[in-house]
Amino acid sequence: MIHEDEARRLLQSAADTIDVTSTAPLPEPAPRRTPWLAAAAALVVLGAGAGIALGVGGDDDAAAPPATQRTDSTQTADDLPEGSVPPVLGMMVDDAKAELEAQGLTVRLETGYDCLYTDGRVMETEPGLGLVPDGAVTLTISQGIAPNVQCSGGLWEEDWAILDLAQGRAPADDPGFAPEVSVVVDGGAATTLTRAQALDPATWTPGSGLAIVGAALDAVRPPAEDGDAWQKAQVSSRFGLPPLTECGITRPGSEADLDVTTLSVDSRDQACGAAVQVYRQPPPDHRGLGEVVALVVRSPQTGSVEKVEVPDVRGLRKDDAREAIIAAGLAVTTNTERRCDPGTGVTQQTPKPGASAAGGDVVHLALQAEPKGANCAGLSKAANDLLTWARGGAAPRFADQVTLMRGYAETGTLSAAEAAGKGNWRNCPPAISFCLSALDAIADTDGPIQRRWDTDNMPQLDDGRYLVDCTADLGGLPDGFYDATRIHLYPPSSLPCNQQWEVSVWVDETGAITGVNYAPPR
Amino acid sequence: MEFSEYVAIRRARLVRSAVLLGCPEADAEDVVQTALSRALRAWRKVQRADSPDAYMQRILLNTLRDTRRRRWSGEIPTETLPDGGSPDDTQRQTDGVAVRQALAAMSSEHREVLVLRFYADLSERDTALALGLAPGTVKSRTSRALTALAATLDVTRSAR
Repeated sequence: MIHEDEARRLLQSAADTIDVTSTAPLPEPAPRRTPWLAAAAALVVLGAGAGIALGVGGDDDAAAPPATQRTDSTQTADDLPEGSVPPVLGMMVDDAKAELEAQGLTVRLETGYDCLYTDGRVMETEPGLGLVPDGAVTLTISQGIAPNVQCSGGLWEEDWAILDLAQGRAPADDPGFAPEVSVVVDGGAATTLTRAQALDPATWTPGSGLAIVGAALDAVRPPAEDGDAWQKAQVSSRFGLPPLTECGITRPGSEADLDVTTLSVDSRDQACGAAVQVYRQPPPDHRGLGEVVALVVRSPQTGSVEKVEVPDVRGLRKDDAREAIIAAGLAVTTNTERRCDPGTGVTQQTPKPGASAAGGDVVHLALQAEPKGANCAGLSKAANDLLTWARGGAAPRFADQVTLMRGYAETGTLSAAEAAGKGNWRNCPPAISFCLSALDAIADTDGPIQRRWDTDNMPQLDDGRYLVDCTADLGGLPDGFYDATRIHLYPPSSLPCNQQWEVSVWVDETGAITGVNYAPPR
Repeated sequence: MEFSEYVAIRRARLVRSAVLLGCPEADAEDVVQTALSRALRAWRKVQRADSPDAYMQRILLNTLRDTRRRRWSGEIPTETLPDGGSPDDTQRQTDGVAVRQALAAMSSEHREVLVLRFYADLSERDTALALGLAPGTVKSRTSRALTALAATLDVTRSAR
């Protein structure tokens, strides 16, 4: 076993092997994501059935879409030099191997890790695309995400399964289609496919739905210099409700609260590559991916990227805020913070209102709601009652078992009757003969006792600084208390650090006190 | 503390934390720059946090998790020790490389708790905040991670 001081020495020795440049420019606020062309618009929505029926309509206030035009890929695998490496990136290893061997090429396999290419798919070839191999072609097969790396913005197996279909292959995994899937292409009318139809590569005939994305993925570009590999568009993903109008194409609106992943084919030649927005019905428990209920496909478009002003949606209800953001040509994600005394509507937005953003950038909205299962009103009342009792009033209501903690470590439990006796609260550690209890701390403090929820920041002082946490941490909270909502009581912030304390109170669903922690000064 | 002051004092430590947490060395400065950019957007919140360092480590962890499409073999690029230096220095570098290899070999849960507790020097409570865990979990996980580190280092050393 390694002691803590030795652990610090070892970690420091490891850190000392890492070179860091001495200077770097002071960071600026985080950059925005891939720019997209967009314009304001609003659309009518239809939602129905097990899947979702999608429709489009106009709005007089909608801004005219920017001038865009469709472009077509100019070169395909057929244009690659004879005997050269064909495009196999993203294919499953067996399919890629078979394709290469059918062309008379010898194959070697290696493995690697990747966030974009999922387990079993080709992530790299040596030599590269369009080059004639001297000997064997080495395929590097992804084993998925490296054990020590966590990725986001990569693709799931289900995403690749959709891209398999787009490229005319049977999907290697189940894309998770709902019994009915709506398909919309370039803002046109919705068509509905059954799950079986959607899963059949033959459904996606050239120029239709997913095949548009597939064609963009199949496009190849000759190298700038002889001897270099040919280039191929890459796919990327973005999570969040997309702008209503992006790249001049207006998507259907949706009444339902669906998860949306946009799979885009990045192309150097176009401002907006082909893309498919995959709409999933969130599973009831919000675990894993839901069923795909709609695919909204966009052909590659040319045109310039527009800057838009981020609207001010603070205070708006979630749905209204989302609508305003997407109408401005921006994508949106939301996150709800659970806290007692929640704010109304959107409490925070990033980027800030009035900021300039590229169309299609994601705006993150923060909302607040009461914690599920928390008894906020009961906590507030229990805190009042405890204060009153400590200063000579009536005892509060206790649960059958009350856990007392000191410095976040459990020191004992009391029955409801025992808890009503103040003398039982002096829960000193064995080595200390006299110590104050939470009740003593409250009773001995002059001035108003303040309170904050566990989700609140430390209180701000008159001079603008924030109160330093001067309380002692003597161990971890017992099971069940760390995650539970609680209310903190603390003395006037003007007291010096060595007189600061904090009392935390937990209650059950009836408002009876179940636990009290007294964090004494350090 | 002002943002510029925080960056001046903490940037190098954050870069090294990022590498120890599993970020490829070549990417670590970029990752930290991204994490600091995110922190700047919420700097008032970072300042107000009970422990700004715990908050910053949490941002760094999230940034690492958000790192997109990295191709990383998991290799530690410091297999070859630098030349020169005193025997003590050489031993220290040998230990350092061994510890990095040991960290790379262990689960991300163990690695994170070790780096936050013993390199970022966060208390158990702050580590719990940064990792979103109960303090009791941090305590037990730290104990197991130290045991794993000791075992891995023994293997590494005996292999030399």
